[in-house]
Amino acid sequence: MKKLIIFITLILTVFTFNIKAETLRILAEAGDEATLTIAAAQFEESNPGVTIEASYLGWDDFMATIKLKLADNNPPDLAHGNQGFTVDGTLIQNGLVIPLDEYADQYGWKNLFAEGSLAEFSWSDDGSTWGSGSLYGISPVVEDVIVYYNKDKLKSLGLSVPSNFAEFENALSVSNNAGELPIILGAADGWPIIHVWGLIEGAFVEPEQVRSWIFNAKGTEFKTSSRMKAAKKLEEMATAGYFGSDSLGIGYDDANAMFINGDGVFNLTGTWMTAQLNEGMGDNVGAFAMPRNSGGVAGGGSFALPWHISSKSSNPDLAAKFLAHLMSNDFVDDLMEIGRVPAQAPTINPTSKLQAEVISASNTLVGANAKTFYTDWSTPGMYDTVTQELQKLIGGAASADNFMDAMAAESIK
Amino acid sequence: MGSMNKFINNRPHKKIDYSNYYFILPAFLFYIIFVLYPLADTFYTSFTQWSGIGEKKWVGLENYYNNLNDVKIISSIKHSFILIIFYSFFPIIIGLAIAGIMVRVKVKGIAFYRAILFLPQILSMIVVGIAWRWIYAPKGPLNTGLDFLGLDNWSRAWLGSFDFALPFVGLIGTWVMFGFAMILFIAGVQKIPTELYDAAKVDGAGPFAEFFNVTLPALKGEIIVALVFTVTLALRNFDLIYITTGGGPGTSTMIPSMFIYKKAFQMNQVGSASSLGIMLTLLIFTLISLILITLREKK
Amino acid sequence: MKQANREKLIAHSIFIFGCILVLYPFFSILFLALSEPGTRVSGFTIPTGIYFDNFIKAWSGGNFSSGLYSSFVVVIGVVSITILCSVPAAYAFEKLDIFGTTPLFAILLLGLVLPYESLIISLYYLMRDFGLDGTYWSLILPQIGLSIPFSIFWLRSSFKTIPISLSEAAMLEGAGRIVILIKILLPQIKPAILTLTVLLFMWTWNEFLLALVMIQDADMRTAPLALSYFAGNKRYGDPAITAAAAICVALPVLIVYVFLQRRFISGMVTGVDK
Repeated sequence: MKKLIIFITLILTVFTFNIKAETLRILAEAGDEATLTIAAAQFEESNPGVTIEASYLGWDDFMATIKLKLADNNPPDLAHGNQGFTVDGTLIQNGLVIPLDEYADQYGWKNLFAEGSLAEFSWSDDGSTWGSGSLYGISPVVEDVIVYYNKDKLKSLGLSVPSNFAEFENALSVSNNAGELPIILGAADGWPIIHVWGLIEGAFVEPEQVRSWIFNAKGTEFKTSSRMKAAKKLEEMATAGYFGSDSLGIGYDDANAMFINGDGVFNLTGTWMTAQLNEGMGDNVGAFAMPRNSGGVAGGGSFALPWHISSKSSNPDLAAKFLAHLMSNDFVDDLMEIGRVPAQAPTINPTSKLQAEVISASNTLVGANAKTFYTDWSTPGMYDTVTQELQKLIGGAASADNFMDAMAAESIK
Repeated sequence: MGSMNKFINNRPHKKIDYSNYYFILPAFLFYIIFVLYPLADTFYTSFTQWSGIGEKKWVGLENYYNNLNDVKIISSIKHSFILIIFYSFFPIIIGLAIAGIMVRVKVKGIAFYRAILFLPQILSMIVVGIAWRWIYAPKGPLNTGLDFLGLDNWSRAWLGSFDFALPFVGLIGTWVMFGFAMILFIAGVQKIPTELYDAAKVDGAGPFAEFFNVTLPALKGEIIVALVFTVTLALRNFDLIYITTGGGPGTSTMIPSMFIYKKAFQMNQVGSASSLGIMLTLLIFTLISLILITLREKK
Repeated sequence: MKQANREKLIAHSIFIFGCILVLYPFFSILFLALSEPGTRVSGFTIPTGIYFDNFIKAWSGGNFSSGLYSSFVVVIGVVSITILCSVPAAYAFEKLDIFGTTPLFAILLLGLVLPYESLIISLYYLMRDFGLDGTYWSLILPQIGLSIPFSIFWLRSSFKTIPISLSEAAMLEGAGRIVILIKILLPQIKPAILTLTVLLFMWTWNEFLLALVMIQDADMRTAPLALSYFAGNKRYGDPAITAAAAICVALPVLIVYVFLQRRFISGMVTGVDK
């Protein structure tokens, strides 16, 4: 018995101190698996002796554990965060990630983008204010929330791509009357409704105003009359059955699978879905930026999830070198080929019709300075609040007024 | 308790032998460091504001005050009480009813039945949750079954419904617990002397009178055990909620232990999470004391 | 006699109905897991063939070999140390003179109903202070502490059933406390220890919240944690693959249960009974 215990203790000790020298450990949200697989292979080839160990988490588990993961004794060297106070703010407040300014200068990341466009990655060093200060994260990809649609369905309903919000609403109503599900929505996960809300909000509230509320929720009025209109509109859409009756029981990925299989005329989601939708629907899927109520376009959107370097990383330089590979000119075309929208201009043409439409929608948003980010970035507790309150609104368990009250209360917390 | 069996202190004029304490020392060290200390530490933290780093700032009863005024927390406690109905009352009523029917039936092969009925007890709640998530899925067996029976308009996304998610999570608890309650009560019934029933028959008692006058009082010990066990589980219950609904839709299946996790590890409100933990502990202790006091007294 | 037969029939029907209710979810996910990939399973049809593709996909996608390994390491640590500590403690409480037995034992009983969901926060920071977070110790040590109340409780009542005459005779021959425990009493309570081992194995195997909080490294996840992450990563969102993964995680406990089910049941029923 004694020997057995000594043996077990030994085994455990060995596993406790299992440190590898030239291994770069990466933790990513599952959506980046394709990107990282390619990048890791390239990087390992150009840096002999380096091994990349990547692990992936589904979005819900990612959001539930990312702070714990980076607070670990042996955290990943490189990990995704999420812009805003819910994740990045606390990571910085707890000193879990390092500023990247030196690396940004070394690799020239700041010259790649227009002045001010890296605001969403910039923080004061105590993590209390956001929008300027040191650069804490970076991403090679932009992601915008836009409207995907089933081309055949739209055509057979006698509709064309809406050019203003009224036409969009009309399209929803026509679809509904024709017995088609107007919008496919995987609301069981909660967060996909944030994207829908972002588009409706953007259609009524000036994008500039949305952004300033997100950067400074405490000091900016949430309950404005235009936002109230947006909330009422979303409530109206839910009551009219535009999201179907089961949306709260459908997960995000199931919803997309259903869209591919012909459920739903519109799918209001992010450009990260481009490759998958293109693969599933080919030429039958199109995309456009959501038209605003008073003309122009708007859409939730930003850079993709930021990459952070852990403050406990034994080799931050190597992590930065890998980031530099992701950010490099060479990698832009690889991103194009796997169907993503690179933050820098690519040298090759879009690889599919859908990607061309997506990039054009994305460019329209950039041109109109109309990206509205994501609501959940605004306060540490907002992710929970907004997902729960939107589920209530969609499910008819709360009114637009209830929603606005709960959101306003959270934004001053 | 058991002092009759002690042999070393049977000798007269024995001083306390302190070396006996070495026997309990290792166990108590583990218990103190990993149970009692964390309990005390949580209790202390519950009076502070703390984000997980830096100094804990003493705020007195503020966290408790805020919790009691937080609609979402109050409703999460209500959800826990609703879950007690499903985890505790339903299985116990089912178990008692069946035990009452089987008062004098000797069934062959009971060991086999018992082995199967007990099965849900041994499984990880994560596995149980995954199985039931599939059963309740929009296109899962339950809805397919309803469609088959022509009840199409009954089928829905059960775990995505504000009205049905909580009771349907509760039914998973009933499923986990009813076999356990049955086994416990049937074993208890078989220990009741048959003379008691014969006497009741002589007095002209019908099956119901027999159940309430003989079976139920005799099973009191088992009922206490089942109540304590199931009520505790209903109030804790983190794993099952985490894997099935995560507290949603909205906050319709949110329970205190889920809030403790979210506050402590997602929202950096460690002090507030601790106070909720202490409240949950007190709630469990109170309910168990109530069960013990009310049921033990009525001899 | 007819009366008795009818009663038996009713009893059997009830039992069989109960068993069907219990077994339905099991077979439902078993059939789902064994179904041909890509086919739509309704949950009411018996599969036409057996396909292991879902298991293969789950096994390779969810890193379950390391999950099972981690779980075994934790189980071995928790079960062995808990029993090593609890046996002498239960022995001392029951057979030796411990001043203050009643209050000490009452403090232990507290641990039987304490929701460890409340302790998890403090345990997490404790493990970080020890520098043990992210190691198997962060799962083993707290679970020993949490298992000790039940273990001592259970073993003490087993010691109680051994007549004093046995150990008194040995006392007269001059045997010490430890010799009496090991040579005379331990063989008597072997079955009780085996039952306890089985119960601790099951509880430790199924533990989830501690692992969720303590273990962040992908290679060190326990089986239930790996399963939860696997089910949450929508790339493997096919319910059939998730079902296969769930079966992989449940299997070790199920196998032990098939062989030792009497111990599980007697342990749980009489254990909480006592």
